[in-house]
Amino acid sequence: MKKAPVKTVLLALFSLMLLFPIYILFMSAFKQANELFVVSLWPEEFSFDNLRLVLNSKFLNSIKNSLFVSTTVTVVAMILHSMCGYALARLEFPGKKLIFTTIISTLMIPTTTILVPLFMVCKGLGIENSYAGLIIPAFFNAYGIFLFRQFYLDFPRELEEAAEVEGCGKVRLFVQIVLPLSKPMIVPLTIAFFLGTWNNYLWPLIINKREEYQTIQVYLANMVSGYSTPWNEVIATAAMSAVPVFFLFLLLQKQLKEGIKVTGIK
Amino acid sequence: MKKGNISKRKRREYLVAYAFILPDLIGLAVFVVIPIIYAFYISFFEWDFINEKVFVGAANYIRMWKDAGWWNAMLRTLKLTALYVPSLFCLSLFFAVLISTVKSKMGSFIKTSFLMPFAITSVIASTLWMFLYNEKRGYLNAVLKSLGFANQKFLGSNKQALVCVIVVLLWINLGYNMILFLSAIKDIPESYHEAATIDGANRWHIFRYITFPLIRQTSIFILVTTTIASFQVLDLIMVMTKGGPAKATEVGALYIYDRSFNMMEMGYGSALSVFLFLSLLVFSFVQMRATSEKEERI
Amino acid sequence: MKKITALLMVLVLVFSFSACGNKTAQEDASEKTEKNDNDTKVIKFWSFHAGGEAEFLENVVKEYNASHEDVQIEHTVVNQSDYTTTLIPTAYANGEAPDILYVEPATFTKYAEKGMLADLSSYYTEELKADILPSALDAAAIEGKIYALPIEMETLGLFYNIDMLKEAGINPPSTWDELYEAAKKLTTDDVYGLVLPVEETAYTLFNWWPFMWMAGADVFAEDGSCMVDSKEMITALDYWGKFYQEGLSPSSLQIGPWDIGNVGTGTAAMQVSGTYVINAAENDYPDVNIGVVPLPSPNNNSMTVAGGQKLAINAESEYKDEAADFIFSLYGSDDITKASEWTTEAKFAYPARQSVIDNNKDIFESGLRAAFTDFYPTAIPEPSYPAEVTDAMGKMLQNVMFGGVSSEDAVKEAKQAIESAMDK
Repeated sequence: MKKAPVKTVLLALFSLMLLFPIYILFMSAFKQANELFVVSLWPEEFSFDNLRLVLNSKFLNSIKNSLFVSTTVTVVAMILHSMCGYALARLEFPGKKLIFTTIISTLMIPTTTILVPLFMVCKGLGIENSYAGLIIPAFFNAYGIFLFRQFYLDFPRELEEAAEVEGCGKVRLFVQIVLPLSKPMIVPLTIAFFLGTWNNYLWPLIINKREEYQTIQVYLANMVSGYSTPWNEVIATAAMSAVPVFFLFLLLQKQLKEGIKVTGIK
Repeated sequence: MKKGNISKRKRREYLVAYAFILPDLIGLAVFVVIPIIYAFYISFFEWDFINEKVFVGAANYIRMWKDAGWWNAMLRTLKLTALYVPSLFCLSLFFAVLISTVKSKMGSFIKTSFLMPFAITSVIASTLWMFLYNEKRGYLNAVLKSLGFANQKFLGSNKQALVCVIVVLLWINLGYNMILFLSAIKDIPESYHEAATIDGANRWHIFRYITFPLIRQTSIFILVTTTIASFQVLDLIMVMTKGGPAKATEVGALYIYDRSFNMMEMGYGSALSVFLFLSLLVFSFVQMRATSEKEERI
Repeated sequence: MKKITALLMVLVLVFSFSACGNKTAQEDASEKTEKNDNDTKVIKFWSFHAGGEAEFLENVVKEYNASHEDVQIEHTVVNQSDYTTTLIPTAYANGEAPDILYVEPATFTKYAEKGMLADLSSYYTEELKADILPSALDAAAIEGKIYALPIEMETLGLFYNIDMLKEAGINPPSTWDELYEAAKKLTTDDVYGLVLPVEETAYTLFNWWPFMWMAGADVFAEDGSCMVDSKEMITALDYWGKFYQEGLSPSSLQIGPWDIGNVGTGTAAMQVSGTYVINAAENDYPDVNIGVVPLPSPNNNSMTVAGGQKLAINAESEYKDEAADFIFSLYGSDDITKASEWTTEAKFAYPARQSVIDNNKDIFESGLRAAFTDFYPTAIPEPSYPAEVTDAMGKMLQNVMFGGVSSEDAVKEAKQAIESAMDK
């Protein structure tokens, strides 16, 4: 393909435009309260005060909680949904179409409507006010199933057919051949599950009132309360809470770079 | 004899399949389907969270039919969807195609930059963008002013507010969907492109006849999931405008939230949700039907 | 790759079990304490306060728990905006509602009429009833039964940047015309003349009421009929709407309209806010000269509105007596130290009790507080209407503020909505 520097430059410029608000977020975290609402590209008085105030134990605890919850959900969801998606894409069984339809339709109900009944279910299971209540319901999200299914539909059949000819059972086929080649899916899926859980506000708010299990979004929302909001602290907290996610992205960057092609590996 | 063998194999395949889907099915059934059924159930009652539920049959649905506020809210949801979904789809596809041809470190920098906004959760993004959209002290107006334009009201204008929300949605979701398209594009063997170029096809032809058809599954996925998400936008609007100014951003999901919790009319809220759910169902299936090929590939 | 996956799976399983384990351990622990002290009653108390107010609450809960073996107060802090919308209703629905909760005019009638609040009349002594300001007691009662304990009265005033007004040669406005002219003169490219609330919320209505009353209008007449479409209401709406339509008041706010930062950071010359920001004005913006005057009026009839939180007890609580004991010991007893502390140190607000005012005269006369103390007598309690009425009123305001709807049309629509709701 021809390398058009113009194209690259334009893309780079657009990237900078996308990054601009994030820059503002982080830069503002170093602004004192009196400058916070002044439009400027750099603080007149660069200060670490906000950070010192913000990085307290409650904040760190909520980050820890969010990390734990999001990571657990991501790992388990990947396992569950890859299996389910593969079955829906490749295996034949009665009721497949109906099951798939039902699964997708679960995405279509607004969260507000199921808040109350879901709480009742969790209460019945005894998992309110606990990590389990934060984690377990989050596993079961049809988005991941749908994504894996589409991915496996496009998966080149030749590999599987070759393995079957050699008498490989379905399970071994999945675990030893298909899964390892699912790497291109890992990046978008990890991001989707991790962030979807990290982002969750309404559910953690309802299911958990114990401060020790508080997640970061709820912590942030609690800062903006009452009549006098310390905006410099809020901005700094918001900026700091994005840092763990950025780290995750950096970790995944390697996968992004490679963009492994599935075909061609015989 | 042969028939017996095949059905045994088939049966084993069924068992394996069920084993694969069982954990998810059970989980979905308990944590999603049961609550949804409950919501359907409640829609036939009047319930204010506190007192006994009162069975009212189809009264909630009749009320919905006559509720101008609700239909206006649904119209806004449709407007949001009509503006947001095609923009997100086209923009992420466009950038994915562009970036797929950029190798080197620059490519990885660009990809990561595009993805960064996705790391900013909607609550933070709303707060952040309010800094940008602020009428007198906002960054966007500062830029506009330097270019000679007048101050815009953005979130304070009932004409601009919805678009402002859409812009934030695009900002957050563009990179992620672009990555999805990229993964799909990367799966297309180079040889296809090379062969086409040799045959004299230009870039547009290559895209239209080779690239686009081969990323069908991903396209469908992005179309359907973005539409679903678009019907459910709530967080951003709650923080940025609370449905204002003058209801300009009061979408269906917000209306449901308001009725359910503020007005404490959970039964009515559930009926509205059922309607939203059913309309999304129809919408999505029309979408999937329209985009499937003659082969049975929904 | 496989090894890492396997390791991760093990980790996840371990975590999941330990998480479940934690829960059961805690359940065991709390069950044990409950079994050991058979009579330990745990009373759930939810608040949403921050800063000095949160500290006060933490301390009084600690003190109470230390001095009562058989009753323990479990205090949880949640987010204010969710408190009034999602949290309390869902908690009731799930049987998880706290024993002690806060109510405010926007939620009081709603909750009381739905039977969510316990009748507290029996816990009031005659002395207490006499000590509580009549308007505060009225606001906590429905048809003769008292459903809440008033703890504070928060009134609105006009805050302004003393220096900005001086530089522009403007005196703090006292009439509607003066306010309008001042806002016009003070609005520049960087500064808004006046900050008023923007969103369709109970707080916006809270700010609106005094303007409506001062114009001689009201939602209902004495005989209960709806007079939302009166001439006076149109006058008030026209006046209120002008500020937004002419860009003197912002159409969207980054920080809350109550937040004294609007004046404090120099983004606005004046703002309507209340007693609740006095401490913030003094502590967070010590370098800015902020003054306060009564709300300007059209006919030399300045009024203000008195809102504020009240404490209530869950009608379904198992421990009503104990809960009542706690809250009355703080705000309803002969010993007014805590009640005074709440409205003078933890925050600044007007107490609901005359004795507290009398005993703390020096505080109520200091700084910005003095101004409020002067116009406090003009305060009318914030009305507590059914949800359909506030919904209609909120919509009416939005239509005029931003919807380009004329006041005449807006009031007609509101009247229709309210009358059909009242018919039900």
